[in-house]
Amino acid sequence: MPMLIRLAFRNARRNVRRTLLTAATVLIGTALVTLATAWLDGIFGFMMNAMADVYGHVRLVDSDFLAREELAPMYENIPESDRAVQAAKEIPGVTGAYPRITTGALMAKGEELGEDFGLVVGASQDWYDERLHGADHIIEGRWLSGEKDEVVLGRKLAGQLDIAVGEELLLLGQTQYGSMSDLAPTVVGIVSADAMVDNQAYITLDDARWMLDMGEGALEVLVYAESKEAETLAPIVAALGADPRLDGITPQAWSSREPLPTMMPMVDGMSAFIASLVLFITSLAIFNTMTMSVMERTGEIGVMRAMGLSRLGAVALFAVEALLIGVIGGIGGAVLGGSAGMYLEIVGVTLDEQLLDQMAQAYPMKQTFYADVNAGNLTTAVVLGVCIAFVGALLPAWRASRIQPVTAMKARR
Amino acid sequence: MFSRIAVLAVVFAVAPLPLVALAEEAAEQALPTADELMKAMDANLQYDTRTSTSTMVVDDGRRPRTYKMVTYGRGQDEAAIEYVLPERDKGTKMLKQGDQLWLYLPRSERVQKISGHMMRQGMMGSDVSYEDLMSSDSFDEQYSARVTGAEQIEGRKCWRLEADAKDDTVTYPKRIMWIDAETLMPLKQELFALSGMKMKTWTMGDIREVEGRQVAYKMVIADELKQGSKTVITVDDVTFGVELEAEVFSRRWLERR
Repeated sequence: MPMLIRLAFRNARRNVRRTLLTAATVLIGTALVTLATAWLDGIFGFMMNAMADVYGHVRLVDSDFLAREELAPMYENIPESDRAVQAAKEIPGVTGAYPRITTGALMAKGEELGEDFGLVVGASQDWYDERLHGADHIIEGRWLSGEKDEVVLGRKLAGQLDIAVGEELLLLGQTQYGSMSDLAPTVVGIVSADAMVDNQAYITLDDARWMLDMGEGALEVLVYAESKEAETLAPIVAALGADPRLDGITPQAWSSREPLPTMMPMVDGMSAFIASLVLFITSLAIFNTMTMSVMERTGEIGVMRAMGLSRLGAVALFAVEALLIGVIGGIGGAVLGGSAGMYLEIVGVTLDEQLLDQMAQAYPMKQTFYADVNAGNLTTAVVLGVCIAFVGALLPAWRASRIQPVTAMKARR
Repeated sequence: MFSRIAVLAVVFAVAPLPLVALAEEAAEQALPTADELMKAMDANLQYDTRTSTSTMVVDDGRRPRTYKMVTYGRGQDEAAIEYVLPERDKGTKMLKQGDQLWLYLPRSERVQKISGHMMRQGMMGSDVSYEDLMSSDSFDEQYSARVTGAEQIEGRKCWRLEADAKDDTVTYPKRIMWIDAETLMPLKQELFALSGMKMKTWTMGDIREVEGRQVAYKMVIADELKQGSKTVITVDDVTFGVELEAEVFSRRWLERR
């Protein structure tokens, strides 16, 4: 093996220009993969963390509501949500549980209702303070004080309604029974945090309960644990599911809530596709280089075979050379791609506001996206470089092993 | 020969008897015309003024809710409803003026015009839509109909009437009604969409005569699109020809506390 490595180095130095060009191809390919995966990790990693924080690590909902959630059946709610909150708080590892209501409503500043429709969130003051951190994102006015008939509007929503702090807003929705229901709260603050927050209205839990005629109920109870990792949440979900007080209520970990189960395979698929595309293209470069190398060294291979080099040895000769190029290119690509990724991790890329509006009102996405460079994507880059080299060298190396010594030496003459 | 004549004479004397019996039976079963029935129903709905108190129980199969309301009416084009129970909905009012409907929401102290898609919503989440409330034109004006036979509904003889809307502005393009042969009240109605899908079933019972008019003291409305949902309206009392304030049928009344 050491001899093969020495031979690989020697052969690589034979045509330095070609070797460097090939290594550069591998470097660029792996750099692109590193940057792409860092970018995807950054965007979706942020979104998943934010969604877990906003939607709860575990959510309790009525089982019938969950079955038809896309229809938002308000009557399938948790009628005694305080009992569910208490049950959740008794489980070891749970750091908080909060009832919450979300509903849609027509909104208007003046007397006449128009076409402005928005999502209204009603939650406890504790949830707003400890989880949404609403007060930290106020850009005008203040957060809710807990008194009735107050509303805080997201920045986009306030702009759409052309309404300012101090003015009265009419909310016209429906009770859980389908009859019309109204609120006329005063706008006490305007908030801006991400695409989702900016497009929502926030009222007290009591006001939301009144609006939906829900008594002491809530649409969901959000449960938070010490960490959002699956290993931490699994026993909590199991304990909630087994609690007889929560009969008819389903606990759901954040990672199993849509759109994540649909989105994650898509993200993995995108990463795999990008990696495969780069693998294919840069493998062609290695293939080209190795094929030319085999053709140039036909005679030499023949002599070495005549001197006892086995077929496997001939394969290894070219494979090691390719792997060497691949490792150099892979490490270089990881460094280059990692550096670009770290730049994007600090500076980020800012999207057009309109594009973000179209994409992301339902998700807590910010206008500026940051990459996330981590050991995972750097390791992927180096491994990818090696794989590129191996795949590209495979066929030429096999051909080299098929060269007959007599034929090779005749050609040399 | 004599015997032959005698036989023929008997035959000709007896033969018409079944026909006569059939003719008599046919006379008894003679169907009224659709026009007669619809005009009779329309006439029953005519009044100058009316006031009533009612209880509405909305049962959607989950949690029944009970509402009490006071209703005022003047002719066919003006009506006002005020909810007095439950406490949450107390003070909610509706005003119908011609083809316009207004809703007063006490919490926000706002008057909201009901139009467009809102008209299809159930009043207080019930199976009676705002659109149902708006219908004021006479049956005769809205529908062309035919009597298709006689059937029993709740032990009472009824004329079966099939009616098709004369134009596409009518809420229910097709109706089948069972009109009580004695009171001329529609004891049962099936209301259909243009596609032929049955939308609602409306039944009336506890028919009593009040000041020369037939009044249904109980109505049950079932929305066929919402499984297991029905609304029962029970009239507690009704009075015709009462003196009503002019303001009752105005927007000022809506906002008055």
